[in-house]
Amino acid sequence: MIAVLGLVLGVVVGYLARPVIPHELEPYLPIAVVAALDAVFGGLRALLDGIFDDKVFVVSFLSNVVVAALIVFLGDKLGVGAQLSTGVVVVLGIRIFSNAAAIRRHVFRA
Amino acid sequence: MADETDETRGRHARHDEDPRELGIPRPPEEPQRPQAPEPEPDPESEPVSDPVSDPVSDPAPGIEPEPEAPSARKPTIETRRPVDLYHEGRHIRERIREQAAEVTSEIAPITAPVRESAHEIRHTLPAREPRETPEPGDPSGLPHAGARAEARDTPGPESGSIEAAPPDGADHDDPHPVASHSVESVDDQPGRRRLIEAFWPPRVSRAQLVGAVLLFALGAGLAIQVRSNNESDPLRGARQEDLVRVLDELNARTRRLEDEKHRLENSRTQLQSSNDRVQEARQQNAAKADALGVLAGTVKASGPGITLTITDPQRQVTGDVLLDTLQELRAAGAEVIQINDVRVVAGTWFNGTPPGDIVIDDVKVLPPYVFKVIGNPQDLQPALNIPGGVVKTLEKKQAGAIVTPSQDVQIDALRPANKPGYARSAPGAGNG
Repeated sequence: MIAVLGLVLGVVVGYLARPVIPHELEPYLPIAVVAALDAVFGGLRALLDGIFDDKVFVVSFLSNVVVAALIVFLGDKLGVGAQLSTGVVVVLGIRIFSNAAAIRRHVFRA
Repeated sequence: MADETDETRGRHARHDEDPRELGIPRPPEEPQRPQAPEPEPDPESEPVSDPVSDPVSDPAPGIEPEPEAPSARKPTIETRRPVDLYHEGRHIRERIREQAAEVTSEIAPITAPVRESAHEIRHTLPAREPRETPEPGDPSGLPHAGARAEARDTPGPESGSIEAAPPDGADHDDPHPVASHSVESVDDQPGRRRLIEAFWPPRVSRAQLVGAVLLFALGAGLAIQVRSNNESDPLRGARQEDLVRVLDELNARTRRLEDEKHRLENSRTQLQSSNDRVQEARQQNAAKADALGVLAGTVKASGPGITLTITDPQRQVTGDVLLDTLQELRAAGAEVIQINDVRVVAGTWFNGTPPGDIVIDDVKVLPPYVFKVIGNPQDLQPALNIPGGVVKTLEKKQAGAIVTPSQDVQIDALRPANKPGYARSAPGAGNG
């Protein structure tokens, strides 16, 4: 419940406060957001499986974000940033889908 | 995140076999637990498999024979005949039953009050029970097939059936079996329940706080990204190579436009200069046409000059005199001359044979003769007044001559412009 409140609060703050993102970090924000989404879905699935562990959640969340941003950064340096970020998004999207399927099985038993 | 799901799987797999282990730590609080399994063999009355399965399904410590039994029995199972095994199993069961009876009798004083209190609690809190039962979540074995179906929705009757099942004081198990049945349904039911639990009673736990912080970050990032993405500037967030490409395109376009601008400017200056030239030529032509028109007598003229009025009462003035006067004026620099209503041009002629009956250019002119002359008055006036000049000559003929200088002499007599019928200006002529 508190976590959901945190999400809502984050959306509101991010939308109203419009903090200025450093220019160098701008290309990585969308990827980081997708990676974080993946982590959140994974955490939700773990919660439903009854094996949710906040430590694992924190580590997976942060490492997801960092690794995704790192991959894109590396891609930018290598000149294949667009392709790599597409790849990252595809992979994360697949994972999100599989996690969502597991969650769905838990919630709807279907 | 890969590790997360791997872990998930690993844990999930473990979780399936876990529940009984998980239950172990908690049951020791209630030593009566062992009694639950023991009475059961009674009604079931299975020969050998029962004692074997009992220790497995109910690992709770507390009864001495159980640890002994497997160790002693397992080797024997292979060697002895089934009949022996049956007998031995019966012995063991009898022993267990005896011990159980002892334990039960020992425990009876303890269980009775607990059972009463459990009854009281159940009656006082009928509504709370279903919610509390899932929480302990410790399976204590002995899933009742019949009760399992009821376990999900109606804990009331289900707990009652459990109560009925153990003949002895196994009432303490009542809250737990509900969860124990969920061992079987762990695949579908607990997930949803866990979700609801995590949602509704808002608890402040470390996991919730950590989740809140991370989700806050996620939400903020999401909102920022969505917002910046919605902004009108499409270049915002574009990556470097795209920006470079856009910049190149813009530069090329700028160059093209610059070239075009130069071209257009050149043509504009050309046109402007030619336009200027045309205008100048037109002005010059107009000026020349004016001058020529003045000379040819096709346009009106005005300017400083004099007016010479010759009165001729005696009709002594002949055409000669007028011609002389005209010559004198021209010599003095007269530019435009009009005699009465006749414009004097290059081809003007006089016919004055009968005195007083003068014709100028086919027009009969009667005195007084009025010369309107445009020229420099300071030149014209003395030219007429010189000794032996026009005025003297006219005086000799008893004609009066009055010279009036004026700054604005209007000459309005015109001659028709004769367009040449055949002559055309030759190329190269007429430029000057």
